[in-house]
Amino acid sequence: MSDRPSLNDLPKKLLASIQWAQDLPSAEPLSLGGKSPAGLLSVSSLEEAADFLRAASKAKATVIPRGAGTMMSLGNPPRGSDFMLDLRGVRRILEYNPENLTVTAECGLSLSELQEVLGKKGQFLPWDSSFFPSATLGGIVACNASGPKRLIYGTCRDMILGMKVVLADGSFVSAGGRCVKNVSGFDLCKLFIGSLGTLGVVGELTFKVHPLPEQEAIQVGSMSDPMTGLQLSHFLVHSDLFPAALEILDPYLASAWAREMGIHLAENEWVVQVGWTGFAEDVSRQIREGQAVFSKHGVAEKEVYKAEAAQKGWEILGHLPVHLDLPPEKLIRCRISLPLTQMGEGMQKWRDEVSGAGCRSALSIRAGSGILFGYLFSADGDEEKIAQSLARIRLWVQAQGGTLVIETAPLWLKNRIDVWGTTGKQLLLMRRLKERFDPMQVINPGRFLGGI
Amino acid sequence: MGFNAKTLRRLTQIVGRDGVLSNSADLKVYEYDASLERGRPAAVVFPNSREQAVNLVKLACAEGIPFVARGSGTNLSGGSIPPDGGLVIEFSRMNKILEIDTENFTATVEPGLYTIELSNALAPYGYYYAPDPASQKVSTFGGNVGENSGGPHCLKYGVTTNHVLGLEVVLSDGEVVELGGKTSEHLGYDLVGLFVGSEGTLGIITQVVVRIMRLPETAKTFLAIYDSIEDAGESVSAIIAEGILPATLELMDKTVIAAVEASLKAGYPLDAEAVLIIELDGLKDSMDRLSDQIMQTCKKHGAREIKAAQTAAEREALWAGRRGAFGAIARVAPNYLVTDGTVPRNRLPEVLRRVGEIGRKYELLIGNVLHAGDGNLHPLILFDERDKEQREKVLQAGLEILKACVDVGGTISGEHGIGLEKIPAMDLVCGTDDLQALRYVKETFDSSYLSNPRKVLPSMEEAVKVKASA
Repeated sequence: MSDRPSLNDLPKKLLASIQWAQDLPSAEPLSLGGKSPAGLLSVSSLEEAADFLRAASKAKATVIPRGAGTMMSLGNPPRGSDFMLDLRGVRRILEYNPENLTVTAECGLSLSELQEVLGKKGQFLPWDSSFFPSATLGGIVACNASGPKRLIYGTCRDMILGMKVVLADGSFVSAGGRCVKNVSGFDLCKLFIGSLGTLGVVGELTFKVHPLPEQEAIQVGSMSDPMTGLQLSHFLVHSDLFPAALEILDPYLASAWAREMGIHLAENEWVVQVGWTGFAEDVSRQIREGQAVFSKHGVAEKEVYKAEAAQKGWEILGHLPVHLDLPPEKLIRCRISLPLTQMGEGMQKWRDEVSGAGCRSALSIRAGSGILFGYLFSADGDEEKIAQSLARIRLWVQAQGGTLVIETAPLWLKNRIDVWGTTGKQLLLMRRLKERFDPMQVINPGRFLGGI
Repeated sequence: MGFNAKTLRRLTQIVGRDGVLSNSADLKVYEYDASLERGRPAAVVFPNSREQAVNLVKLACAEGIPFVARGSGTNLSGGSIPPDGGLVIEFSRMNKILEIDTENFTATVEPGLYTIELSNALAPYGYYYAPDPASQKVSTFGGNVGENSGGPHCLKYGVTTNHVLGLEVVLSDGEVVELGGKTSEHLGYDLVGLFVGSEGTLGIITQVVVRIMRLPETAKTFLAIYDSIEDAGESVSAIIAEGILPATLELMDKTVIAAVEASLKAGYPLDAEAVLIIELDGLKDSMDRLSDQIMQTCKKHGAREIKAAQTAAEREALWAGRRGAFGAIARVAPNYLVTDGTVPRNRLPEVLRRVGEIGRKYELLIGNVLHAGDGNLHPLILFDERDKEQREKVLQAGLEILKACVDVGGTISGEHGIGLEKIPAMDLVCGTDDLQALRYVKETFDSSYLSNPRKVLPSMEEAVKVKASA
């Protein structure tokens, strides 16, 4: 546990509302990278967050911002974590303009609460239901999380129009605006998306929202050879059709998903999930042509889920680790991005390497977006071997121009291997940005790429 | 002010004798872009490779010479003007398509390539590059990336930044850095996203990796005709609010229609107050129903008539009129100031009314072309540059229009950039802390303030270190 840093400049009211570690029932759930913060502050406004960051900066204390904590596993162990700043109380919807298809909300609002409000007007924010419902807007943006339907809707950078950020010195920076196009100054929004809060706390967000699609479907197929799934995906993305998602699951993950959805799979069957979304006629036609494409590629159609059933299918996929019946501290999850043309080889590389490390593994493929998720169930593996095999996979991936990020891992692995990997000369620019935006290294020090 | 003989000799060594322009007759052509700003460079250089570009930047850095990258000079905010003289680096000799990789949905191009040429090269394979600035026949990728250019089809498909995956850039110290790349995810901060739209102030672009897309199965183009511009504006927000996202929703008013018809004969009715060009694209299955819905919506909101282009030639004529609108307006007046304010789409009708009022107040003729679906206005304030008094009124009216946009929650530039021209309006949208954050970014990439000086950031002016190198 850290010492109690003294926050002389903090307004008394805020100081009084800090919960010190020894007073909390158990500090364990707050622990990050093996360290528990000395105190936890829950704020209810951005001004409070700014006051706190300013005081922390002056006191040279370190701060870990958090939302619902659904993605706290991301990042290297921080160099310091004196305080945790809980932003779930900063949760107003500031402006919803359905006619303009824009909404401005605060960072601590949960995605599900926002979707509920948008849903009443027949709109939604096109982040998949694959996120946990409690995940906060700020957290999703800081982690640049995305789901299967990024294939058609894009990622955070494609749906954020503006933001207000609290820098470590307590100042506020506004970027972008509430219009769908804006080039008035540098596009700072891009800088904060996926920055893990290391340049400032994303406080307010303006999103471009979409009308709810008329129809949505998941067309599920099965096959014995994953290459068949990749060929099918290749065919679909280069056709006239617009798949909204293309997911391939290995037999282990497929069976977990199928179990939750109530369908039967034979042993060693892989599953491909093709997502369709849009106007009713278009979806019907795509399902119809999808069937022809399935049979052309020797994929057996198992089921077509529509509407709520499709929603549920994506939810279960997003929460899949929960359904794997594993203690979370044993789970390693890697996110590998590759050129589409290297997906097959990447899959093979992953399977060869991890089988050599002697532990159980699984994988799923976001086939239209060039992302491969590799899971390791490390309970039965040799730690050193696992670290080495991941390092070898990463080396190969980087040689293809891709990246391997270890999204979830126990501390022993994070102590052996950097979760992000390495990047070229641009790291120097990133370090300079950090030095300017957070010179005292207050927010999330060391959690990000290259020790930022 | 020209360069001394030694500097000119060095430039010649880098790009060859035929790669340097330095006599005043030649330089005069590079004094201007598509804005009203003017500024004469000391020399214009034409690199034909990254190495030459790097050496030019290194020389500029060593001698403290400000430099401005230039494509075709279609910039509408003075972004390609060298306000402090110095070097203009012109990219017309770096105009190759380096790679088309349809399998990975990417293309890699040099910055001097004309925007349209990539889509032309991709069409035989069934692919295209979505952003389509009206000047795409001559605008370049380097310029598009610098300005984060939009275009009619950006309503549905997003602007340049949504389509750029990677960049190779030369920083002002001559260092070459690769940002992003061909895959969908990259480590660390999104420096590609930061660089796109930075108007050349962070460095020079020598290579661009863009995302390409499949051509849509079908497209349908409509012309909706109105007796009132507000009704056209109402139709736009009604279509958006109904949940249909057309590929384009473009609006032109009477003044522009007249100019277009006089020069291009696009088939717009001369007695209309406004027209909308609406294009739907996507799968053919839903096309008929959506077409009907759009037609009904337009009629409900006051459209006198709405007709669909029946042939490819009709469709092309409708578009030629829109793309040629800025050029056609030259028939009406020798000069125009185009502003680029953007507003929430449902505020369009009232802002259009405001623009009309401002025109009457200053006794100026204003033509309107809008990327209406994006809420992006392009009022063209017509005037004659030789009339000094009128010019002053034009600038006042332009600023007032931008204020009107900001007042309803909008912004001062949707796609043309700040450049030199809109610096006086930056304080409408940026506070002191916001500017400080922009400065952090500038200094991260270009601490010497040599790369496209005086653009974007108002207070940079004091920081510019200009070396009178004559």
